[in-house]
Amino acid sequence: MTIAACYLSAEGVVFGADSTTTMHVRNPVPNTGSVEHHYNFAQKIFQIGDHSTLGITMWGLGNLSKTSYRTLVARFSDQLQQCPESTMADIAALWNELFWTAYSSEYPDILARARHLSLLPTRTPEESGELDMLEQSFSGGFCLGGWRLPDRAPQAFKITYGPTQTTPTAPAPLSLGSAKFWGCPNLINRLIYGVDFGVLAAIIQSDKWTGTDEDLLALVSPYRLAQPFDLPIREAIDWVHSSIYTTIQAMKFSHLAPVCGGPVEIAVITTDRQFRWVRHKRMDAPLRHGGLIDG
Amino acid sequence: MDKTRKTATERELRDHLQNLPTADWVRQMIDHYHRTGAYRSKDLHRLLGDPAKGVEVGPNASLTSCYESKDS
Repeated sequence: MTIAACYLSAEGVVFGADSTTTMHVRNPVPNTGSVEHHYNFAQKIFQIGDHSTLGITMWGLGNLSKTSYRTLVARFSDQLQQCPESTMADIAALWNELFWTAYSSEYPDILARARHLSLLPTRTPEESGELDMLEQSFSGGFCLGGWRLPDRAPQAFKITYGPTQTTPTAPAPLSLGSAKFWGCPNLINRLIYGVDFGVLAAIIQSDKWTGTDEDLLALVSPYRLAQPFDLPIREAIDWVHSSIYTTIQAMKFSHLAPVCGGPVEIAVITTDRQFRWVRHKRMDAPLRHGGLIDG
Repeated sequence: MDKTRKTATERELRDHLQNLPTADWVRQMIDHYHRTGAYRSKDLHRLLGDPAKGVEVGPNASLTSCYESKDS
């Protein structure tokens, strides 16, 4: 599980992400399954190329089978050097194509199985459970943003994928002056809107609710926390950090496994500068965390 | 509604909620975790939300607009 956020401001783009990655470690005895381990020093925000005005963050699927996101982003940077005139929309489309090619070629059997299960007219409980697992484990997305010359207009695009898709979904632009949060949406939905869609669905599907969906939304909507338009860039950084930290802490103090956590990383691309880290862990962060280095 | 009645209603509601039996899916989730050391995908989906869906936060975003676009 990964959580990520992006704030698109008139001053620039802010990216944020947690640092936890969940890995399955196989038991030493063959065919006896695996256990989940949560590692807290993964990187989920990348600058695209050196001295660039582009960045990307990700959520959901932790990595591809053979190719790391770090390598894929570096290859993408190489590719972009061949097309210096490309717009932000062009760049988002190119990443979408590059990722989809890698994703579909590294997980052909999983995608085929997920599509097969999703197209069955009826599914057994085991098949439904398997499809849930595949969708939960192999879905995710990216937020790619930054600015290009000559206009320096900040833009960001959401790119999502899942194992039941047969073709990539077109990148969707983010709205200026607002934020998006991905990966573990229920907690932020509850915080901002007072409820999550699972709770709404449970009420609507209950035989105790006799109203319409709209009736329920009308009842709950006034309890939302209204949000400002286009925060100053440092406040946008605070918003992104707060949303990720809040989710991490909610998970930490819940009954669930710590599927998100570790250092919160933040990067910003303001319209007058290149990609900058606001918070970035050093390569020796796990060593420091383990107390092997003083200070 | 006067304050006394409201307080009585709140107390009744609180007592009712405190005495609700554990939902079947919660019992199954806990049982599965104890047996396997992991949560089922559908439980994570129910508690954390869909990892492929985002939350839009801003002056023009509303619960209704989020609900209508929850598949995007």
